[in-house]
Order: sequence, then structure tokens, then C-alpha cells
Amino acid sequence: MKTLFLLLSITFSISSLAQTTISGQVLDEKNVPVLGANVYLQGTYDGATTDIDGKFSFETSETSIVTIVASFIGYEDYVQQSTVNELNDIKIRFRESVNSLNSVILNAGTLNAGDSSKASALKPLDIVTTAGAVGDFVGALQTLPGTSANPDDGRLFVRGGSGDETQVFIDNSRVFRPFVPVTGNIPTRGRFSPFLFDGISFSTGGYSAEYGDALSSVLLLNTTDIPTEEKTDLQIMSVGGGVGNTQIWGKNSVSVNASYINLGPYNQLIPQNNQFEDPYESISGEAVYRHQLEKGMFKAYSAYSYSNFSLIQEDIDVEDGIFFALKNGNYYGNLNYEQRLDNNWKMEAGLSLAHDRNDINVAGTDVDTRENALHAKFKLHKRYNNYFKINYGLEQFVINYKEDVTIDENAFESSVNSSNSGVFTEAELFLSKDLAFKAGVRADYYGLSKELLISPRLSAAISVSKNWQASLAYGQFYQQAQNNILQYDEQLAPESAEHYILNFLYQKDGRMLRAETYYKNYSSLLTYDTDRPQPDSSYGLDGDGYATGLDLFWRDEKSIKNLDYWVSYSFLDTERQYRNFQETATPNFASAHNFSVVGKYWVENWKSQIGVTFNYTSGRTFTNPNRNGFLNDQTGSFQSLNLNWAYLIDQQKIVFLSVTNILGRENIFNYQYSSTPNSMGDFNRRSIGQAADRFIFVGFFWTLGSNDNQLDNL
Amino acid sequence: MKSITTFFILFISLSINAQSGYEKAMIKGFELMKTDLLAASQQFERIAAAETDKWEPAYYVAFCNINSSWGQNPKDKTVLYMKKAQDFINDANAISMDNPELMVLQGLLNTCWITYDAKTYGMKLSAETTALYEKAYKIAPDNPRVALSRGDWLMGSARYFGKDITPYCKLIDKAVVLFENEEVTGFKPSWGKERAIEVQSTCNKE
Repeated sequence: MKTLFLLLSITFSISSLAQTTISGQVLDEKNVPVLGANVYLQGTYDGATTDIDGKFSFETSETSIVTIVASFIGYEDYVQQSTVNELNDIKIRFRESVNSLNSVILNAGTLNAGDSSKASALKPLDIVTTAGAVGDFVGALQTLPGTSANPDDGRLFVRGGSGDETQVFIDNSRVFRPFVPVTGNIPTRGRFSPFLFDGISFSTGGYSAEYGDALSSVLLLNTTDIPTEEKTDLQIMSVGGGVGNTQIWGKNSVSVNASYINLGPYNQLIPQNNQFEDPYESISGEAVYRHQLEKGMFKAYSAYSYSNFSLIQEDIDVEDGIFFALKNGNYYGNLNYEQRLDNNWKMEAGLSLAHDRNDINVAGTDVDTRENALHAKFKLHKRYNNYFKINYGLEQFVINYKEDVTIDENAFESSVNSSNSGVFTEAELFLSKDLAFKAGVRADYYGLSKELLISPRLSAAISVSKNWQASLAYGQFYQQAQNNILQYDEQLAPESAEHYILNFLYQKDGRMLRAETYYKNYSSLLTYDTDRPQPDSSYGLDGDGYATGLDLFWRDEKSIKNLDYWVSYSFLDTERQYRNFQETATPNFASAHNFSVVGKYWVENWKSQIGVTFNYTSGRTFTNPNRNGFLNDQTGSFQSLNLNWAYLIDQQKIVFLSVTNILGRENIFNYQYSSTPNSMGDFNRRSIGQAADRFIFVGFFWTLGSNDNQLDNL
Repeated sequence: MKSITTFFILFISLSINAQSGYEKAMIKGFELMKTDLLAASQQFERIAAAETDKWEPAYYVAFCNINSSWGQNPKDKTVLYMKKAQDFINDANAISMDNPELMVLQGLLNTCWITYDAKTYGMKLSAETTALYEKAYKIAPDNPRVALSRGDWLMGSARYFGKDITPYCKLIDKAVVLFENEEVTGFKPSWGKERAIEVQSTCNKE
């Protein structure tokens, strides 16, 4: 090889005149010679590959000033301008490049689902293939550590925080109403199709300064950039059906999908614990338009959904139950524009618009709510090199909320108009691939309470050994009260929380162990003095609380062939004094122990993936009036075994079967006590359990691709 | 998989009379490809940096890196080679739009990703790869590498789902004929004939 090389160099040199020899040695940071580096003069063909001693030598006919470049996989490019004569016996020092594969990751608090990061807890497909998730994009996240399972609610409850403390973002724009409104023990679902997203980042604390107005958690969803094939999808399910289509032309593409869900026939077949008058019915449609620009991307996302149902809710004090009906209409749209600029600057602009309306009837009382909301955001990103990056951004939130209550033809109207502004900046610094820092700060101005609040955010990561790394995060977080409370007292300042997180991560060859401990300190929590928030309640910010715990996560896709499983366990110790709590206590939504095991086994011969999920959640607190005290009793534990089976008929067709709580265990989340004692002086109670003991889902998914007629050409 | 990729290290006819510096440099690259993929990749990389309006040098950088990505230890290195290949395919695409040769190369790289981690990339890239081959076929139905890669890919899917592969064997037969009649000019890709014959022989066995 070497002789051939020499031979060729000689042949080349014959044809040219006045050759200058360029030579030298390439070394890495530890002075070890680099074998196989590419050294050449920019804009010419003159160059060579370094030998085992890191040495190179080649001839050039260039004269005067040249640019010498040295490059090799895994190192930063070395570039130097010089006159040809000076490039004799030079020393080139390589610097190891920092990339997502070899460097530490600033991951305290964050769980990723995607392939972009090596520390992905979940893969994109897990969102749809986890048993028990039944196609809900938050379903699979409930099996991750840091969450308290609330299967009667369906939202994400993170580290002692309520469901309201998690904010959802699509392509970095806020989603104002990510969940379908429900009542009682009917679990809600996310509005969005899980197939739309190819990256999900779920932060259980200590998140970036880019995200404000969230006390406990943010869930970041990124839509697919460029669809690669035109196709039509058909879904036929035991609860409804759906259809989707993707078209691509030039640099443009459009994906649309629509679905209709009606639980009527299903409810007829499988007994429900709720007495439905009109079964749950929903119709929804989504459309995404993407345009690829020469140096960027434009995306427009639009979704509309309408749902309605009515039922008789059981009540301990009302024998015939209470009638409840709900109609919800929701529009959400967002525009996202991303453009790379000169000198490694990048700009991103986003705008989201939302409209949400609820028409609720509770035992003859009409409650109609209307919400219009807007989020506009502008962000600049500068990458100085792989070691140092900085972000700047500003954003504006405008919310207009109105509630009309009609009781016996008496109308009560209340509303709130809030306008909040935020600015943030954040820098990321890698001192080496083994040590990284991120520091950011944001300032939020809350228009209603006229509060200017500053939130610092810090994180650091250090590699401890080859497969271990430790990271830390600290942050201050604020969140404005919910609209239904703010409408009664506009002056309420935001609630606040501080997060301290310590994370250890071990990764080797398809195995991952993540251990995280945290302390969260709540202050200025909302308080009021009535049973429920009312116009005449007296509101304050005198509440406080804490949450501390340990989250463990183990994922292994290597040890057993075709088996991929993960185990998560969370220990949570939390107490708070807020809302109308009589004393400091653990709220009903927080449970001390949460444990889940998720397994997926691929059976090659059956072309099937069989999945099992087991969830265990320790008992939840409730107030037992037959004893002294507040939140003084605990329910039994929640346990659920879920199974699913996905059968790949061929590349285009999948049959999917899923059974949630296959053992039919009767789980109880809470109790409702009678407001008056019986003749024995005791308060009677009724249990609040699951909406249904089991949930069975059968679906057939058919993708008709453009390649369907592949044999016509023969 | 290894057996497939080794077959892509091929024999490029060097019947061109070396005239310009560009041609000499390219020929040197092809010579290096026979013995040292890394050196060859670097040679093409140098040419690509100098000739920003020619897609062929970038094509061969990607080609060499796809072939080098196999058997890397630690496995992380595989990703670095595949990412480098992708960068150069992107560069080549920017110079030559809708080029079926580049689509074939992208299909090959996708196959590498799928082999590297089927759970993550299988579902994601399978449909994309099928679509890519169909697009290439629409543009250049008589390109032998398009015919081969597309037939090979479809046959692989059919085999996986236990379907009859005879129709796909016909596609390979057609590819072999196309290879026989192919006239290679300049530095246009010319690999694939040996692979086509190999695939054809597996057809006859079954």
C-alpha cells in the first residue's frame, strides 16, 4: 500500500514543476500520534494520510499562502493559514470533538424518547407499543420514574406536583389544553396522535431556562421534520376508526388525519362502572404542512377536536345520582419557522393559537367556558464551536378566559385577561467531553399581578468513569394560577418552586441505569377558605410544601435475545399546605411508591410483539371523617397488569390487541363520604374506583404506501 | 450484511486517459479503494473540498465510509462513519438533485442503520427506503444499480414475511441484463454486477 502510494506520488510529481514538500506530525491531546488523519491543502488535491507515527508528507505546486486542513473522525478539524515554505515539519495538535455520542450529557431531570440522544429512556415506538398506553402519547410516560400513577385522571403527576404543574409544548410552542376534559374517575387522554412525533423529551425537573410558567415538569413534543413517503393509513378500532394521508411534492408535504371515536357499542358489550346517558364520542382532525427551505424549515400544524358525553354520576348523598354533560371543542394551531443564518447563528420563530370551549351541565346548572390563547416566541441560537453555545429568546403569552354560569336562569359571568412576557438566555459550555455546564436565567413579567420574577437555572455533568456520569441541576420555577381561580382574583401572584436534582447515569451496550434524587421546595402556594374556588372566597398565597424522593430506572435490551424491558421505581415523600387544606398533608394524587415493569418480547416466528406492563402504586390519602384529622387515611394499593399483542401481517398491515387490567382487579382511588352521619353517628361512604374494570382494545392498522403497486411494473 | 457490503467494493474501469488534475486525482482515489478505504475516502474528500460543483467525489466519500462502517469497535464508531457518509450524501444531493445513484446510496446507508439497530431504525427507515427506491425507479428504470437495490430490498422484505420471492427474482434477472449492457462513462458509479449475480444465484437455489 505504501509503495503504491509512493509510486503514485512520484508519477504525479513528474507532471508538475516547482514542488514544495509539506510535512509534519499529527498528535492528539495526550501527545499520541494519530494514524489515518487526512491532511491537505484546501482547494487543491494535494494531501496525504498520516502513518502509524502520525507523520505525513506530500508535495504541492502551490506557492505563497495556503490553508492547511487536518481532519479525522472523532476530532475537531484543524485549520491553519500559512505560507507554503513554513509548512515543513509542522506539529498539528488535534482536539477530541465533543459530540452527542462521546460526551457527558446534561440530563439531570430529563427523560428522552427518541434516537437523537444516546441517553434515550424510550424509543419513539415505545410511545405506541407499551402495554396499557393504548395509543395515548402520555401513556408510556406514566411508566417512567418520577411520575405518580393517577389512572383515574390520566394526566402526568410529577414528583409530588398536581396535574396542572406539567406544561406541554409542541415544537417549542405551548399547548394550552393538551388533554380532553373529563369528569370524575374517567381518565383523560392526550389530544394528539402519537404518530406525529418523532422526539419526546419529558423533564421531571430542573429544565432549561427556555421554559417558564411550569412548576414541576415540561413535556416537549417535536413533530417529524420531513415525511419520506406518500401514504394512506386506515385504522379500524373497537372504539372507532381513523384515516390519514401524506402527500409530498418538491420541498413541500402535507399530512392529514381524522378519527372518530364512539364508545357506545363498546359500552354495550363491556360493563362500565359509570352510567352513561350519551356515550363518549369524539371527532378530531389534524393537519401538518411542512416546507423545506434551503437553510431551514417551515411547519404549520393545525388540530381540531370535538367531544361530548353525558352520564349520571353516583353520589353518596343523592340517590339518583347527579347528571353531568360535557361538550368540548378545541382548536390548536402552531406555526414554526427555523432558519440557519451566517456564522453559525440560527433563528427560530413560533406562534401558537388556541381556542377552547366547554359547555357543561351539572344537574341543571350550565357552565360555559371560552378560552382564547396565544403564545409567540422568538429565539436565537449561536454555536461558537462544539464547546460553547448560547441561546437568547423572548416570548409573549396572551390568555383570554370567560366563564358563564347559569343557575335557575340567574347568570353569573366572570373572566380573566392575562398577558405575560418572558425573556431568557442560556449558555452551554463543554470544558472537555467529560465536564459540561449549562447556566441560564429567565425573567417573566406577569401582567395581572405586575410581578417581575427572575428564575435562574443551572446544571452540570461530569463523567465519573467510562460508563458512569453524574449530573446536577438547580432551578427556580414559577407558575400562574389556573384561569378558573384567577378569574376570581386577578391579583394573585404566581406560585413558586425550587428544584435540586442529583443524577447518576450508567450506560453500557444497550443497558442503562439511571438513579436520581431530588428535593423540591414549594412556596407561595395558592390558598382559599371555601370548599371550592368561588367568587367570594378569600384567596391568598400562604401555602407551602416540599417533595423529595428517589427515582430509579433500568432498561436492558441486550441480556435476553428479542426481549426489551425496563423497570422503574419512584419513592416520593411529599407534604403540602395549599388550596383549602386544613393542615399540612400528603395530597390525594401523590403516592409514596410507584413501580412499573414493562417488557416487550419479539416472537420472530409469529411476527409478533408481545408486551406486558405491570404497575403498582401504593395507597393514596383521603380524609376519613369517622376519625380525627385531615387526609388521615389511605386507600389500598393500585395494581394493574396489562397485556398487548401486535401482529405484523405484512409490511402494511398490523393487528393490535390490548387488554388493560387483565386480572380485573378492583382498584380504589378515593372515597366519598356522606355529608351527614347515619343513625349510628358514622359517615357512610362510597368508593371511587376505575371507570371500567378492564379495557379491551382491538385495532387494525393498514398503511397503503406509494409502493403498493410494485409488481405492476413486471 | 458483511457479505453484502464487501461486494460493494468494486472494480472500477480505469480506461480513461488521465488528462486533467481532477481525473488523475479521481483515478488515484479508485486505486486506493482497492487497498485502503480510509485513504481512498480521504483522497475523495480532498477532491470534494476542491471541486464543489461535482457530485462524484462526495458520492465516493460516502461510499467508502458506508463500507468502512462495518466491524468497527467500539460500536459507537460505526455511527460516526455512518454520520460522515450521510454528510457527504447531503453534500452530493445539494449539487445534483434527484440523482438516482445518490438515492441508491442513501438506501444502502439506511440498510446499514437498520442493521446497526433494527429496533430503533427498522420501522422508521423501512418505509422511507422503499419509497426512495421507488422514486429512483421512476426516474431511472434502466439504471442497473437502481434495479438491483430495489429488487434486493423488496426480496428481503418478502422473504422476511414468508412470501413468494419469484417475482423479485425476475427483477434481479432484469438487473443482471442491465448490468451487462451498461456503458460506464467518466467517474459515474459502475459497481453492482457481482452482487446482482450473487443474488441471482440465491434465487436459483430456492
